Amino acid sequence: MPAMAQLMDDLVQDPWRTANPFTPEIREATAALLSNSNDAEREAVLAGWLRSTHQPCLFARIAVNEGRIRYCFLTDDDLRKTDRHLRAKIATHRFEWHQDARDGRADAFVIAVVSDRLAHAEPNTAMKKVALHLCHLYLEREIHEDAREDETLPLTDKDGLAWYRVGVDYFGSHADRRWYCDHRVPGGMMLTANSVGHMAACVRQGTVPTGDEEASRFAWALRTTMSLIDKTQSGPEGRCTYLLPISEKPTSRPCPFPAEMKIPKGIEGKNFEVYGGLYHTDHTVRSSFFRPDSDPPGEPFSDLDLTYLYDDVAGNDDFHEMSKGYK
Amino acid sequence: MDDLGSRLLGLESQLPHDRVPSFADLRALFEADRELFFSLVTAADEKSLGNSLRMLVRLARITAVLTRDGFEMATRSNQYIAEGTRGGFLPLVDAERDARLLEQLWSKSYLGDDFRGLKSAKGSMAEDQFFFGQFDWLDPIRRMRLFRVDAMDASAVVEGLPRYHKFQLLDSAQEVVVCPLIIGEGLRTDGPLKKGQAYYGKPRRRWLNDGTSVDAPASKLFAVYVDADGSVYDWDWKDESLCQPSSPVVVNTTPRLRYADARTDVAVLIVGNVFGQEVKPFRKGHPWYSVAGDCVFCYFEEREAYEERLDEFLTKYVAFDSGECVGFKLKYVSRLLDVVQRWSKQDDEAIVVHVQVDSVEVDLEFLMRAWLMRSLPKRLPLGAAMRLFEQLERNPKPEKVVIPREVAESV
Repeated sequence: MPAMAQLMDDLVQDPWRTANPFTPEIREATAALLSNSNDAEREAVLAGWLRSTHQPCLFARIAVNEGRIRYCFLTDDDLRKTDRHLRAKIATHRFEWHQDARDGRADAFVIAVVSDRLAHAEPNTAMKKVALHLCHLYLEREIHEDAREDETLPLTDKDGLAWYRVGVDYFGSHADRRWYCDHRVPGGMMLTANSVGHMAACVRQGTVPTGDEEASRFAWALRTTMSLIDKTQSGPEGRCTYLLPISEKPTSRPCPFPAEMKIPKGIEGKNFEVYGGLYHTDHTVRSSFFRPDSDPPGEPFSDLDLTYLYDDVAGNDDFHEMSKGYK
Repeated sequence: MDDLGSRLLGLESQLPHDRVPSFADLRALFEADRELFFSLVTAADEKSLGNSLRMLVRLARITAVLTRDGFEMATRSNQYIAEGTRGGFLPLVDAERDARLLEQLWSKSYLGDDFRGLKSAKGSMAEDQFFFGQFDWLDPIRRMRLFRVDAMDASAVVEGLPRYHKFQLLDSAQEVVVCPLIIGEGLRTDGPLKKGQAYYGKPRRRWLNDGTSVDAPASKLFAVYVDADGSVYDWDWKDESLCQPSSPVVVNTTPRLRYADARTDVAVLIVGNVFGQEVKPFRKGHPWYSVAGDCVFCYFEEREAYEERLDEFLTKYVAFDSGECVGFKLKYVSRLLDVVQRWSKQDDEAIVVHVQVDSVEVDLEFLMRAWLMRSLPKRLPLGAAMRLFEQLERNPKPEKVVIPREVAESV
């Protein structure tokens, strides 16, 4: 497998971007990230982005507001060095994240590649290889496109050590103004691992002060996730993810929300088992993101799973692995 | 004895009795008893453990470091290893299966099987310690050294040295590198080996030419000699009394001896370029030059032997069974070659040094005479050396020492 430095050499500038310049928010945040010379300043810029409504993820906003994200920044200088250097840097930050997660202080990890070359590169096969290789350096295994790549996060609770499976997601500057614009990020490229199950467990422990009085962490996670999907912004081809009305897509399970839970209007009457999207939300490196044009792929997905957040039944491995945690 | 102590004792009795434990044994333990696997890193003082268990603990600790720091798969000296991004080397046996276990530990994907009821240990204190515990052995493992056998020396092991050398390398040498008792610093008074080291230890077995083993000899230690770059070039038994830092006999000689420190003398030896190689018949009287050791090995008989140093240049090999000299090692060859090359410029001496494209060839006898010349006036009785000369002269077809030309020309 070629090293990252070689893969970066195959990138070409994005001609589409000339006719479709970055939005002001991406342009400004990218400029700020590229001009900063240390990770503390970069973190401040990226935290500002994650805190803003320019990105739709509510969990990320909670995590950043509560200081529960750990960052690993890779710059062009890093990318010119060996894969061993990149591995070591990612692994060091990952270990610190795991240590904090174990103590209930962090749920999310961000590997942010701050690179002018990447920010302005065409999303094509060469860029996909960079994304896959970055993921490989992080997860230490062969990475497949259009597949869920995940890792596992520890948490010590009163019963001992628990582990939460967490999916890894990919974001890029090239997403700005393209159909998958909810996956845009300033500065170049980003991998995130944000464990909802871990955060929900910390909500229950009281270490994440969400201002939420809800007793059920799983219902809390479902409500937050559905609210997030409900509030996604519309891109050039419509919303990337969306809730499905029960009237159109009936459910087979009883309503998982406790009777006393406050339900936002936007999610009332919406299917709590599946939702729709232009891409598969479980996948990490989606091949559909790495095409020079901005046309969405064919048929949207209408069966993206929500039950992993709450449905405690035998056989629902995703619930046990991602939300309830191994103990 | 606490619960872990008794379980470790039970584990030690299950470890192989005819070879050193490998990563395959650790992998098997992971499958059979995950809790005990994780517990290995919490085992108390390494020195209190038997060598076999100590080696398994070492492998577990390296694994723990690699699954914290990240790792790369690599091939060194024909052996797969996993190399930690911040240091640490893990010799692998089955590249595919071993890499899979490392990946499982890195991502914790083994938990999938656990959860579905296939395994028992989950979220234990031992698991927590394996991944997050703070130990004083973490940084020494990141600084550990990787020893291997230079290609030229590996070739000698399988091309005609007495066969027991191969068995000793694959077993005893690996054991001593992980479990040394004494460390010798500085193998020569000058040159690259000035920073070489000797690892002395007590392996569990002594190997015979037929591939069987007997109990380790009393009052002897096994020595492994390694240059500053990590090339192991010699390994043999020698008298324990000559390896003791406190012994008055060894004062003012190389190497300088000290007791091994389990925290800092951390190394592992890979033998992939010898393991699995077919051993050719013994070559009587053939001189084997080692670049790493800058020495020549020569055996007249294929009998298991221990080493006995005559002086800083010459070590003889003494048969365990009869006490007879069956070979020798001549050191500082590049120095001696310098002397021979000066002689060879005088035509009437009939001393010829053949210069080939890649190598320089010289009679071993000339090197021996150069040693004799450098050593005069002798401080030691010459009897042993004279008998070596006699044995050399009895060799009907004396072979030349082949020294790589770059080594010869660097003299």
